[in-house]
Amino acid sequence: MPDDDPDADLMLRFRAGDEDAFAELVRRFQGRVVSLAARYVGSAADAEDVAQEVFLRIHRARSTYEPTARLTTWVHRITVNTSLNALRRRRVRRNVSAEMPGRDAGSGEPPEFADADAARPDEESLKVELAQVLRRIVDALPERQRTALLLNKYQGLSYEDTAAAMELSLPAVKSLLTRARVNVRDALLPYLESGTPPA
Amino acid sequence: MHCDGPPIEDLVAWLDGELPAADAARVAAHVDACAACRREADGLRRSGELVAALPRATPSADFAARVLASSRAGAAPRRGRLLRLVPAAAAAAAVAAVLLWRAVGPQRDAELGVLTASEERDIAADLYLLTNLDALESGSADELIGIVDDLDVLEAAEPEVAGLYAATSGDVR
Ligand SMILES: [Zn+2]
Repeated sequence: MPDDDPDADLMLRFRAGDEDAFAELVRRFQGRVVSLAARYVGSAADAEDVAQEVFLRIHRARSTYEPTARLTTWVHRITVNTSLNALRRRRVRRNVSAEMPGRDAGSGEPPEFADADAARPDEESLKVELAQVLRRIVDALPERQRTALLLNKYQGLSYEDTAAAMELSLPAVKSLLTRARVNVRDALLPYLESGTPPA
Repeated sequence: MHCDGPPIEDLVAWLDGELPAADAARVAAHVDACAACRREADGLRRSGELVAALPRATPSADFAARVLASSRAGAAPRRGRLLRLVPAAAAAAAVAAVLLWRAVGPQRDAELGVLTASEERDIAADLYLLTNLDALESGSADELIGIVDDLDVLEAAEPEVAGLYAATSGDVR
């Protein structure tokens, strides 16, 4: 286990079957896991379903945890995989529902990500609008660019931890992050200059 | 637009504090002297700051308690799972469905003839989900975990699935 891992002790106790350590792990990571899941699945409620699944998988997989990995990269890897699985399920259900009248599929667009700012009017509305534009831009990135960008910039993982969580090389992650940043910047430019959301 | 100075990857890594000190000093000196790179760096910095500032979801007050309750329930052997398909049999059924779909599906065309192994695996997984739609919609955590487990097996079973495909494809085509 990397000795710079602040969660190392927690993980050792958890692996040994200490349920209190698992409870601490849930408390320590729940905000990050729910937030990241919400960036994939859209609504806070769906994100909690995904996050619950993430922690149950962690609980069941504790013995397979490789002590060479930092706990945070492991948790993030499981969160990304579980979120992508949830998106795939939703896609399948939607495809099926489209062909089966009577099944409620929901609309094609994922629900707007509910956040505390959304209800605030006026001076906050530009910020909220920008957040919505940005969400669409990030959602439209190629899958690996989006994941790398979210892990690094939204979750604050270092390049090295992002690479470990995605099981990619450091140069591959640098390249993904650069392309993601350029794409986001280019997509935002017209909006920031004219105030018109990109089509 | 970009000059012959530092490659854009270094510019981004510099902004992110991910360059070794010597390289960082070199990039900083260049950006200081080059208006084009300064403008480039400003936009890239802003794109990173905005993503970092995207709204965050706050877990409900009882989220941790619900997780702990489920994990205690899950620690006991699972009973009454809706899914009774043996994963290998499920994989076989899914592959058979893919083959059938290829043979008689309305969209059979050249595109379907060139699926990669990983695309076939995706289709098999989607079909497996499809056959368990009711369990997905009933939504109990236990059933969902069962489906995820089986999917994991399915996803890990690439050679097996490929083998099943090889064994049966000759009859269908
Ligand atoms: Zn320059």
